[in-house]
Amino acid sequence: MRIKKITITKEDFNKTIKEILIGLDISPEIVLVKINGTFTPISEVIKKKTELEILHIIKF
Amino acid sequence: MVIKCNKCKNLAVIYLAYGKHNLCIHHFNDFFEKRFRKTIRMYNLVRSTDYLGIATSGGKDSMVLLYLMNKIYKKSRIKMCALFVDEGTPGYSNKTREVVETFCKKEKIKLVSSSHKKEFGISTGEIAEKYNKKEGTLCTYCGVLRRDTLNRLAEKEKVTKVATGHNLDDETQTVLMNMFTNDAIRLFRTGPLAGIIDLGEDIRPRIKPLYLTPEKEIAAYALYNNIPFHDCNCPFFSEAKRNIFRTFLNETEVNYPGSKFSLIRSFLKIKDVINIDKITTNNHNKSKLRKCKICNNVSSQDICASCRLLKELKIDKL
Repeated sequence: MRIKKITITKEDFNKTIKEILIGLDISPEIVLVKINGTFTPISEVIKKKTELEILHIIKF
Repeated sequence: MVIKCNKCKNLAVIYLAYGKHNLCIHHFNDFFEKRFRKTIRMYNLVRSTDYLGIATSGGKDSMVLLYLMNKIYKKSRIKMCALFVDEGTPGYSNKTREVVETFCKKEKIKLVSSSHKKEFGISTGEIAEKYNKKEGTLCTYCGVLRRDTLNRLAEKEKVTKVATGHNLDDETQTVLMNMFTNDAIRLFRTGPLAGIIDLGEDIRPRIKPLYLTPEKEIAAYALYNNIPFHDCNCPFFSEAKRNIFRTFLNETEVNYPGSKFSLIRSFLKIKDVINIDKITTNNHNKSKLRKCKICNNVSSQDICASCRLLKELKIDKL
């Protein structure tokens, strides 16, 4: 399992995780996301999070 | 903004864009398992007299398949066993074997296994040193030999059906790939009940209970339920062509959620009305099942794929 941690910048506040992933050229179809150890839907809007933990678990 | 489950007030863990559902672990599991059971029921994949062989590689798809089949059928009349093929890939096969063996021991599932080395006298690691790279990728050799070994195990164990972990992503990729290569016979052989046009008594039907389940949800289900799986790619992994279709389908799914389901449902509708006999008649020599002239296994050509590949490697089939 590839785990990638992404730090969220100020511009990313109020974006959904999906929008952030697409901005980073990562397909939301191939990852699961954890924030503070909890699995999180990509529809979640980031308010003041500093780090996303992305599990690359799908073969790509 | 923390997202809540659409069905209860618990924390959502996954968003299913095609249905606009945010679900908690409990309701995701419920949704996932209901679809799994529905697929089996809808396509009549399992009968009460069946003895099922679950093809298990140690990856997330086959481990989720084994877990769910065991969960559903362990208290029923239907018998099942796990089928495992050791390809002999250095630093990889021993790890997948360990995952499968540990799980089967814990769940008291009968494990039937064999290896390429035992069946053909050569392991994938040894093929990697010998094969002609111009003839194709190593995955071609390994895939053909694994399928042959699986058939041998199924025959030896006398299972009535072999269940495989093919998921919605695999199947949509396969449909597109076969269309792009104009391979209508191979295209219409695929399906939840693997479509062997002329079922010979030596071939066990393949069933795919995860046919309508997206790959991402299988990974999520495995993680949420602590189902063990081996999550590294094979060191010889190379599927350049399939990767192109995988990326295309994933991008389409992100932009137009539900596209993979639409594609597979369209394919199944076409398959329902298509006259397969007409396609096979037009490609008579290609499609008719016969016995391999070397090993006597059922094949669509005079010499089966594994004999052809082993001949290239200058190895006699055992």
